[in-house]
Amino acid sequence: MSLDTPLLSLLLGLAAILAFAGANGIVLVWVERKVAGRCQRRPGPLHVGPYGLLQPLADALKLISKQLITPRRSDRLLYWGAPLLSFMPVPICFLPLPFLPEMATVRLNLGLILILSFIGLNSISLCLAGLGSNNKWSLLGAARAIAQTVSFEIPLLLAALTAVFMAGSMDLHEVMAAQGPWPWQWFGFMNPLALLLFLISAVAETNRAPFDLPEAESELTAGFHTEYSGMGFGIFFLAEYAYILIICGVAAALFLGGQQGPVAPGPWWFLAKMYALVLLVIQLRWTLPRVRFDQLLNLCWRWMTPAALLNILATMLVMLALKGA
Amino acid sequence: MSAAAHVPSSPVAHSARLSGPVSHDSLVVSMGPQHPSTHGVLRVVLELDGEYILQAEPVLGYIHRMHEWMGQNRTCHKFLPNMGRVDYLHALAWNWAFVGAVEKLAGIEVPRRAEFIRVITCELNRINSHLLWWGAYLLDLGAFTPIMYAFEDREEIMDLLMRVTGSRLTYCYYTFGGVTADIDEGFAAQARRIVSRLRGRLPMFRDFVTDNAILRARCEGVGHLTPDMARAYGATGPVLRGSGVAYDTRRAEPYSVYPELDFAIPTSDVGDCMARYLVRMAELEQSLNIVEQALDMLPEGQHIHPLAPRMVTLPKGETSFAVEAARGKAVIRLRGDGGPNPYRVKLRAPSFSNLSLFPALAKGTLLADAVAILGSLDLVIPEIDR
Amino acid sequence: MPGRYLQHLPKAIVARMDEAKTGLALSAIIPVEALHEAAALMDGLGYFLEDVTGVHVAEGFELDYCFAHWTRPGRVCLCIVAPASQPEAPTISDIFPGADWHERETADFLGVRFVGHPNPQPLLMPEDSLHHPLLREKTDLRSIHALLPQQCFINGLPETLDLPRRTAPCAAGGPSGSTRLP
Repeated sequence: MSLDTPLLSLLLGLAAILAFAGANGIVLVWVERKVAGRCQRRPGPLHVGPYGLLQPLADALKLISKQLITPRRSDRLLYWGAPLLSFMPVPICFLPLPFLPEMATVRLNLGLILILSFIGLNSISLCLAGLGSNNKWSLLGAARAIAQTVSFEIPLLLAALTAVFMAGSMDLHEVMAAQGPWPWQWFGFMNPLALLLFLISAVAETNRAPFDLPEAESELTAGFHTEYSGMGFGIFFLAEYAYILIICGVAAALFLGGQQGPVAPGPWWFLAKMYALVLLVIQLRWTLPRVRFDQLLNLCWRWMTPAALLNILATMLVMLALKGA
Repeated sequence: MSAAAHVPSSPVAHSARLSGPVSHDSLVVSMGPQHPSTHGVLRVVLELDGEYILQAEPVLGYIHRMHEWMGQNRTCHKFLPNMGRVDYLHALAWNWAFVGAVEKLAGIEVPRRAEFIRVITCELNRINSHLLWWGAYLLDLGAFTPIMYAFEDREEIMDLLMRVTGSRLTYCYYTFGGVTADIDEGFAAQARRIVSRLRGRLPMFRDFVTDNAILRARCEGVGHLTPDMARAYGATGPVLRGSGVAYDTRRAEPYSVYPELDFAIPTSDVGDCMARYLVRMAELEQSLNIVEQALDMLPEGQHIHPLAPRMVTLPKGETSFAVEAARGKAVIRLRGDGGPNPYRVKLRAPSFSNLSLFPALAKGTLLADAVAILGSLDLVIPEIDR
Repeated sequence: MPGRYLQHLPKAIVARMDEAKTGLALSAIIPVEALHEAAALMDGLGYFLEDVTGVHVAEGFELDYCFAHWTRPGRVCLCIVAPASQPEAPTISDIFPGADWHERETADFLGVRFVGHPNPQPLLMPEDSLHHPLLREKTDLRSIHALLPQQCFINGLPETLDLPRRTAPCAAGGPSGSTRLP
């Protein structure tokens, strides 16, 4: 039996992705708490392990050992299905991400579509969590989650589409290859508006502050996950970090040249850009107040969607002009 | 006095708390008594249409301790520590209100030095209270970081006040005829350091927080309070001054040495949450000025009158004594009957009146606005429930 | 000064108080029926309601409505005495919406009923509590005369509540030197 067996390689790949997502969640929790600490002039986790590195493990242990409570009169199937559903698309979304040059797990000519469509599933899981909890705050959170993700998917897709037009492909590897090694050859710098729109939509799509309205602690207590205890909450948490990573990975590949870099291009460039974006997203959460729900939707429909449409139109015209020239 | 004959009956439905009729297709939610932005054990029953508030009704009493009953069953000295627990964020104002009322009724004199010490400590406490409000308000609006900066400064003030009062939050420092401990040179020097440090920090708060576009968008035009409405509900303090009325007890009913001190009463004519926010931020600066002036003017002398009574006997009669607490006008009404215990103590809490505005202000706003309005009223629930 | 207007209320006694000692500029003892009119008058003069203080006294329930003004100095107190046999007072929450809660609180603490109150549920006490914590034992009660020596009462007024329209000047040099308005 060789390692080439498709089933075996699939299983290995899946295990690797899950291990990466899990480890990544744990590391990002630590990074988030350290960044929060730096923003707030305090050290952050310090005592468990060197530099508090083992703190997320301790937290994970705590979450795992906690009792799982199902609220009375909740819909058990929806209630426990929701966290699983929120994590299920994660491995699929990791597949087309261009982590490695040619040994990429799966190379798909519609990789971008795959990622963006499966990320959309997350909003359904949030909605189910809110519906199944039999809690009015959760219900409000679910309503917000649906409205927010449905709205922001449009500028997100349009901004991504701009880069796709510029590259002429939906395969993230090819989009990457279409960009040069130098920053001014990256799509994000050639078309900064698209990058900006993509990043804002990405933050809204992953429900991170300042757009964390579905959980909005000070308004909805904890929104859709108010009733979840232990790993029910833990899985939502893990999925949230995984989605941040995926969407930042997509942004890095589409707009920041992915593995392209001035010196020694390779996967490390992709990882560095992805994590830089993740850090930016984390920092935003600890810097900004939360917007109001109607302001968020106004931002989306009044400004970002028209801007994305105009941007895509302008990009097409420029592309045509360049082609004609 | 018969024991409280309280037999719990079946729970009251949320909707039964609302004074108006409840529509069939609206959502009635109970915000609190455990809710992150009700700051303590306030409960507000909301009738929502989507996220729009049709009616709101605060439900009080979760931390009701019947201070007024305790007041009439204790001597004045024994009741004094209760005052630190009424508004725990501006404990010294309530200390002062009660001590001042007793002094007024019993005719106890206070040395001039003690008056200045009271001004200094009370204003430092006000700064502390406003800083905490600022941090907590930003927390309500979803910004997690400012409260840490506020606490950094609060910590210094609390350390300083701890030197003389012995406690960090629920002070019991003023006493009938003066204050319990004198302040020394070290205290004055440290207070000056804190004042100059905070003067350097306030512009940073303004640049990073007050001028933030999201904060402005969340606060401007939200929770508009007209002066007429403020008068109808008896609103006082920054809530009233945010509606353009320059009413400050320190000026309107001068007490202690405030008439000798030079400070402005910041007001804003706008009347929205941002106006109340800006008034409080401006008050921080005014309080810093007052502390500095009082330190400069601090006379030599005794911190407590040598004839201050060990045991206060209240003569027959009534009196009211008002102070400007961080949340507005705090009044103690005292009725003496010639014995050591007051016949009646009434606590007029500013938050009580300020919160009674809430149903009128919140009507028709979004849930998120209600949180912004509730925060802008700067409520301390133990003071409301007493 | 509101004293001038209050004098016209039927059976009102208006006393100018020693402000340094009592914190009140003016105290008016008015009949229960006149409260609503007097409150409307205060509203018209631009006063705001500070609070409502209920005191359990031998004669019944003394309710003090304290008013202050944004620009005029001095606090004005409207005082009514609801007899123990009929612990009722008219609500003024239609004039001052803020009085709503103060009245509910007073009803909680003393069991005074506010006639016409829009929402007479308990505010601070549990909704099913029958206990009024500030009620005193009979032996513990003081007369309103014993509690308020500053105010110059005409003989036996609070019991009968039959107050003359105009009162004679108070004897000079009373316990606190308070004087009545001319």
